[in-house]
Amino acid sequence: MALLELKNVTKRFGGVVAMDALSFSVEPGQIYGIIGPNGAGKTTAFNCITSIYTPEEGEIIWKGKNITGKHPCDIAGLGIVRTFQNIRLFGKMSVAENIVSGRHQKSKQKWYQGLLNTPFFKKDEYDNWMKVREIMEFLNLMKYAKTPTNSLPYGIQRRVEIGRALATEPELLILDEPAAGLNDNETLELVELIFKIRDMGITVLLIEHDMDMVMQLVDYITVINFGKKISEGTPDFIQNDPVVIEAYLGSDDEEDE
Amino acid sequence: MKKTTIAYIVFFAVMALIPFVSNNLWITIATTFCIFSVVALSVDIVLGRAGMFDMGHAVFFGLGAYATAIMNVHFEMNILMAIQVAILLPAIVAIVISSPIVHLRGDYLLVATVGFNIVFVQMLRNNFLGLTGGDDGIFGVDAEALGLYLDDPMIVYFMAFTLLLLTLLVIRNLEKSKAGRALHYVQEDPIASESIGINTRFYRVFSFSLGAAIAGLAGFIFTIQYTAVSPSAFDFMTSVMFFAIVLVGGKASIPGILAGTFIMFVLPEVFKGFETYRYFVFGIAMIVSMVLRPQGIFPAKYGKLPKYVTEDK
Repeated sequence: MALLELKNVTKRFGGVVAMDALSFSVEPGQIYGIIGPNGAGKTTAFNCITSIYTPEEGEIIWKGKNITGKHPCDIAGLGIVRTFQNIRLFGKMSVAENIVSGRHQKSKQKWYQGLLNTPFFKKDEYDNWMKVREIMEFLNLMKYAKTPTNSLPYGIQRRVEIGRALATEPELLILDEPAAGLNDNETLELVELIFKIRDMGITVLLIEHDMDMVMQLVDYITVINFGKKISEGTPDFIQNDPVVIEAYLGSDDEEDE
Repeated sequence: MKKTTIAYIVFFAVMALIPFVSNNLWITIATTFCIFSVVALSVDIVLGRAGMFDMGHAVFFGLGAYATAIMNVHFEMNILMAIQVAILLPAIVAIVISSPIVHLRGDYLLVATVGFNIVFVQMLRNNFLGLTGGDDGIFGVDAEALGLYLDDPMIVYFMAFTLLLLTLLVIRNLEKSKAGRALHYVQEDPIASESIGINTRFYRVFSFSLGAAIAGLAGFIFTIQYTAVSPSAFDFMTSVMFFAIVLVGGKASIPGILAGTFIMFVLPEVFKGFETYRYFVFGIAMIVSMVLRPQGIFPAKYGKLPKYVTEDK
């Protein structure tokens, strides 16, 4: 059974059809790529999956259950978590405080236990922070634990955002242009990191503009243009698909951000 | 020992000694300082931590105070019976009135809360249900309980001081807990918070409700202190004062709120001789502090982690 399946999902903004009957399905353990020119509707697809937008038509199926129109905060509880194209961290707060925010759903303490400082609360906090420490060690962020995130370089902020997402212990990690704004070195590190995350048993769904990176990273690709799926297949197939080449890869003015 | 710990110990020691070394006037001022600090700390939960412009917090302070006076004077109940009501009534009212408005953006929420405050004071002035006593409020609260006269300045002072200590303890615990952190996340980025599973609506209403419960309890002691309540004590200007205390002192900062209350309430009391210039001092203090320290006198510090997170194994 597919982990995540979109069936004919359509999203309109007024007269503009941002996503037109889009369907694709992500299998467990895959690294799945969505590519397409700017404005093709890729981020809209992600916003629909995470319920920031509600699609007008179609269904989003998670492990066989329809999750269309659920409240955004319930999506993370299901095991779907995302990062954002323009990094949305809690800038004034430290790296560790940012990552511990991802523990919100998993941590079982109630609000009054915190106010009363009960033993269960203390144990729960200890478990949360230890998980955060584990993630910071995994992402090599220990030395920034107390640094406010808005004073960190872009590449490290990306890692913190991925760390925050990992803290929720997701089954599906959705990355919205994770390599945007990174230099070559940082991109290489990111590719390795994504492979490691996949090896942890987390399915990865990503949007990316960097074609070299996508082709070496993903198992399967869906190509979108003007909100419609124009092709899908393995990286080799996509690279040689005339429709894709015409729409996207072959154009000389390929975006370089 | 850390500097802040020493500062707190000195502060509490001075506060504990005040009633033994000063006259009744100063005990009254110190009592009101404690009560106002508690209300300011409760406003800070909404304004400083959850980041919502709440300029109607006097409603909850007033609800606690009026509930106490009404139960005592009209229903002739023992003053201590009012404690639960003074906590629960404002908390429930806060849930009811904040639920529809918490998703309003900054300044729109501010206007809505100002509106609630004006409606509340008008209800009090119009002798709502024949209980609130109109413009004059309610007099003659009988503060006798457990064989003591609770309105004795010394006893009121220690009640207010205990309340301040309890509030500080609750807020310190809140700061370290999941709920307290969630408020900060919601303030900084609601969309990112939702994406990691934080229910922004719940935590916004929660902050109003917790703030209202604490303010209501402060209102209970306020009623005992004056053995009377009147609408003018809970009008829009009172809300503005608490709002200003939080901004001048520093959002989400306990020492900031205490310093803010001192500057905005105790200093004007010292200059009481110049009654007409009171708001003048108030305004100057705000302008000076906003120019020199836009983040407040003692801005909140982040990055405080439990030791075991960073220390070597």
